[in-house]
Amino acid sequence: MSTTDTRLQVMWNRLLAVVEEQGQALIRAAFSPSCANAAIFPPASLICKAGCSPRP
Amino acid sequence: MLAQAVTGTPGHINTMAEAVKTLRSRFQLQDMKPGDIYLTNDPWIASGHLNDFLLMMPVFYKDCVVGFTSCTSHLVDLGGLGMGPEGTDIYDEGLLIPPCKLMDEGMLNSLLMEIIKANSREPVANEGDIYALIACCEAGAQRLAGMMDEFGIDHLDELADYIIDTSYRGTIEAIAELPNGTWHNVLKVDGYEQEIDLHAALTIAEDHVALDFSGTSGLSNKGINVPLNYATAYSVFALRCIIGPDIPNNAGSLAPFRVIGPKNCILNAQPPAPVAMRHTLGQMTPDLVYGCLSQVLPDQVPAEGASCMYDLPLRHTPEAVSRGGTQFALELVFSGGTGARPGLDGLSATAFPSGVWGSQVETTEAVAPVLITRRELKPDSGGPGRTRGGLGQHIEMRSAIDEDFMLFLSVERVLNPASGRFGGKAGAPGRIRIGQDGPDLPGKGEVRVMAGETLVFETPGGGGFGAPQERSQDDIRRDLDEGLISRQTARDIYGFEP
Amino acid sequence: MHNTNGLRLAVDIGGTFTDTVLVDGQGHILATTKTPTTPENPTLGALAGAEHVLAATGADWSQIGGFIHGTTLATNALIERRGANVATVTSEGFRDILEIAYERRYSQYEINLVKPDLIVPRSRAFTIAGRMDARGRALQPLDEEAVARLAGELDARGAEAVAICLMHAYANPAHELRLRDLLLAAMPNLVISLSHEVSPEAREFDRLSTTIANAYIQPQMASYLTDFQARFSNEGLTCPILMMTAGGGMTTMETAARLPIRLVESGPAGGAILAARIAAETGEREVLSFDMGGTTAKLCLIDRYRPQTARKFEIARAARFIKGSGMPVRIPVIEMIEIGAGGGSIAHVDRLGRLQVGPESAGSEPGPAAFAKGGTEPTVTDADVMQGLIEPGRFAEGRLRIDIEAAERALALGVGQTLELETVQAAYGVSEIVDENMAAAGRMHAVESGKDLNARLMIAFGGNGPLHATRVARRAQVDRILIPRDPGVGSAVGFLFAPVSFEIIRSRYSTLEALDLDGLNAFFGAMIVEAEAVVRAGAPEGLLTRRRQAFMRYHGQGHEIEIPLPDRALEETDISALRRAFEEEYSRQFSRAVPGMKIEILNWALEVASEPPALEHYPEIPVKQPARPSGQRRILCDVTGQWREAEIHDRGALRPGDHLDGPALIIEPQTTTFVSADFAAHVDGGGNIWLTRNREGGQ
Repeated sequence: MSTTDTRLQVMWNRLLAVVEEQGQALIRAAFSPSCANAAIFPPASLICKAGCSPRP
Repeated sequence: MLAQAVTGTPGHINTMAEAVKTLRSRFQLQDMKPGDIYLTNDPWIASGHLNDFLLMMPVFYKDCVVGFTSCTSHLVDLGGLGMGPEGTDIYDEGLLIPPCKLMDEGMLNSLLMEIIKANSREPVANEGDIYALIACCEAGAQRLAGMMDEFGIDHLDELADYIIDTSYRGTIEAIAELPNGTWHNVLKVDGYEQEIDLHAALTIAEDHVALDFSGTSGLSNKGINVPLNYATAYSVFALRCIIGPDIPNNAGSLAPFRVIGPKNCILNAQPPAPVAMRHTLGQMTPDLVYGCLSQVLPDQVPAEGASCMYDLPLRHTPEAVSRGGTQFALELVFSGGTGARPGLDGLSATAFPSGVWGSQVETTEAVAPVLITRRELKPDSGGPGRTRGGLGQHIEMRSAIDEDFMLFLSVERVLNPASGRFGGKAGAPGRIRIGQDGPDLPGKGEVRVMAGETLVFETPGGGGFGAPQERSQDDIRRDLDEGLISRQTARDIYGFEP
Repeated sequence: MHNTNGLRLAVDIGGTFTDTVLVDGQGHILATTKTPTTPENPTLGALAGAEHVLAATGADWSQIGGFIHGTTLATNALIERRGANVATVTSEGFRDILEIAYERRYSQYEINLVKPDLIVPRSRAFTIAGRMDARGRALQPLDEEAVARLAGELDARGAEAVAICLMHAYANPAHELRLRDLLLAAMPNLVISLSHEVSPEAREFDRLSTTIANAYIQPQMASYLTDFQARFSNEGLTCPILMMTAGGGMTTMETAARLPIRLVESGPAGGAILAARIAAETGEREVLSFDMGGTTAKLCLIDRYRPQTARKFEIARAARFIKGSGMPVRIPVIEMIEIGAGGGSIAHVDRLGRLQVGPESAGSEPGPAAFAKGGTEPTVTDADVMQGLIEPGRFAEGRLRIDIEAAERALALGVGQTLELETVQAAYGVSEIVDENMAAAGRMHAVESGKDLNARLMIAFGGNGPLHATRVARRAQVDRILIPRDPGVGSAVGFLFAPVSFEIIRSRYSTLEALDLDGLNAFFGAMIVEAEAVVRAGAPEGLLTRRRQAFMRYHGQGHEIEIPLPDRALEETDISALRRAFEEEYSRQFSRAVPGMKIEILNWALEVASEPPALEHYPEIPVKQPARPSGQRRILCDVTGQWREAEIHDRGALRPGDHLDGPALIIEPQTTTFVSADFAAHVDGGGNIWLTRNREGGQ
């Protein structure tokens, strides 16, 4: 591990935080199929990588 | 896939990552523009039934697509017969939207939105949910680009390698600690028309874990069939609870887990099979898998639990609409007990594997015309053992007004209770009846509860672990003192002499 | 009640230290002190602190016209499980509300999860027949015949306190009141908490849990408060003592003894009150308060000079600060997120080779390795020491020796060797991780609240807040920071700005379209009578303000939005205004309203408060002269990762109008402000330090 690895790890933590934030935002805004006191089917979110492809 | 929220249910683990791959293969990267969002609810691409909508958004940074954010959520109603097992094929179950563009450079595909609304009993809620999903994708894309700005990176390649390598390595290390070999298990479940055998062969190799559903019964005519993506999600979730649970979900930690099953066995249903209630059996797959894994790791794997959530969709009667009666729709979920853990009792009335939330009686009664008159743990329902299974619940409910209501059942463990392990006894089965002395009803189908009648509903208990005679005297005494077991059980099953 | 002639005294008893602040009638600080908390009898430590500030200023007890007290005693009694033997009585058919809860595991992947211990075992959970419906209509009478049996059972189980929580009691308390009277007639010494008084909201699990927590600490808090009052009266104190609450207001000793659950987490609330006060004085409408101490960091969003409030929080969460792993308490509180990140947070390397910091803490004993009190594990403070950010000779007024070698050893052994990093790089990594954790928690909290962080001013205080503020702010994309005066005793200072107040949140379900206005107006009328009586007891004179709110949501959604109501009886025409207000606020938070969707309201709030002390307006001082440093030291620059020289300044020597550029350290007795290389600092007319980020600078 190097300092760059610490930085990568900080970014990893950030990505995990971002998807959790997304999940939270969705839970707040979603309409549950039940009476509203339960998030019966908690929504989910994720981030994937793409290969870089310059736009025309 | 680099990161996934843990707030989602296990049903979305892996399925979302695979779905994004599928969507990416359908659309060309060079055709994507900032502000584009793609959508599908195809059960075989997204999450196993039509209600789960999946959105995917390309993330642009300095004119390149650097990644994707994706989110999925359960929509209230997609038309068709609605949530329930009565459809005979996927076409009965509602509107299927193949992968398509929902947003084109920030402009909503309004025809698509109109189609979704026109095909739903709850158009307003659907529209609200889709906007929430759009906002979720956009927020994720914005935050990802913001992170790249802050850290001064132009692509995610190095970060992706680091995350995936680290997670893969950690997972492989956890797998390497296990003995190699293949272990088998058969789990008999209630099914709809007939009982069903779920088969699993779990192979642990040096660098991967493979699960094969060969031998599993064929499809049902009812909507309890399970697409493989969903069966995989719950199976891998169960395995990852034991093997490397501290490693976040991503392509690296998930790669070593492979799941296969013959086409059109009930855990690999192909179109156009009906799949609306795919969670009923999908949520049983952890018990199926644990039956194998327990042979490898006897000290780490819990006994079988209630597992399938006891989902109670309640609705007004069909004639309420024409006669001006009260209209309502309510979906209550109650959980049974979880299986006893090797070192700890099972958890009573707790959702596992689903992770859903239960509801509160007071808020339920405030918003819907029902009265819940009892909701307590059911004594003696936890499977006896050295450690005891979690208890199920006893619930009594009736109409709060002078009107009938409908109940749509699709629950398991009525005929086949949760088994114990290593001498532990089975938990109590689930039970549904009208009135205390009414005949037991099957776990699947439609029930009409007349005004004045009481619906009595018992969720299953979890199985016990180890012989009941080995349970400590203190634990038996405490269970007795707390009324969780009866004197008779203490004496006859635990051999307890006060 | 804010006597402008007399002195005012604030005492904040924390787990380790008791902070005392004495101010004059204009609110100017005359003296502050930190004395060790005396756990066997916390009153003694409070007396010592009070005597110290009186002696320092030559004042005597008779001059004190206001006394505000906050204590962690209530919180600690719950965390350490040192309360009464509590039993519960719930409605027949609902013995297991506590065990069933929300049927949920707080950690998805933890097979061996243990649910929180909610104090009352099933063997002390009793029921009684009788049932209300959601509108408060009695469906079945209370079974009065059963009370004798119940009393016998309570007696047999040795119950000292009873939490009564009957179904829908928030809608009609008749059965709870009657049951209390009957039980007291049978058992006169029983302490009884009623759910409709403690937490009159729908959701039986939360209400029961809150009522149990109240009953659990009630006997102990009642005797503590009586003793506290008596001892200070003996010394010559003549003014009434007011207690700080979690909601950020003060209340009388009598109300505190009846509803001691309202006293939990009052210390941190004081910090948020201070930040809100400074926000108002400086005209900052969007603020993030950042309070970092030895074991945790607390963040609070403050909009339009009011700290964000919540209706629920958790006590005694399991070690990892996971949501859902604690005991839920549903009362009006200042909403803060608390994470396990403080100076004492321990760094370690996990199985995957990832560097992790906290939530485990070395606390104050043994403390960070650098304190040389036997700590060997590397902590956040050790990392700060290694980076040169703490001047060894002047830490804690020079009372604590800083052992740099010990910090270096701990970091090398615990982090550096495992990760093959030089010790300094290990220290840098520890800071990066902990600062990222705090920034991420802040961002998450903002998202959950439907708010943004980046335009906010951060107000930083607590022992470690000023030291980490710039590093956390940069990661949270916050560009401006304010460090108030006396940041080390921020909470106690905050107490002095709190109003006497009482808030009631009560459930009454209705859809917006079917609102029964007469019923609702009567409902508010009753709440006003109740709350005003409580507030008048502490503030007999002066103007009282009222704030009414509705918690509204779309049918089918779990999330409620607070909408302010006019302070008068509602009329038919208000309904469309409420709909508009809701849709506007909803659009603000979610970018778009959902027209056509039914709107419903479950909860209503009323707060009655006295006027807080008048704001201080300090002179506008332009940025004038560069501050003169008292020295220099080498620090590891957090922007470039390179060693460089930083100026050292004494806070006591800084004057309004002074300015300086980072990197610099501003040292004062209880903390150090670290001005990173990409920040500049200046001092305003009130003595506050402003740190402003220069996005281009710092290289």
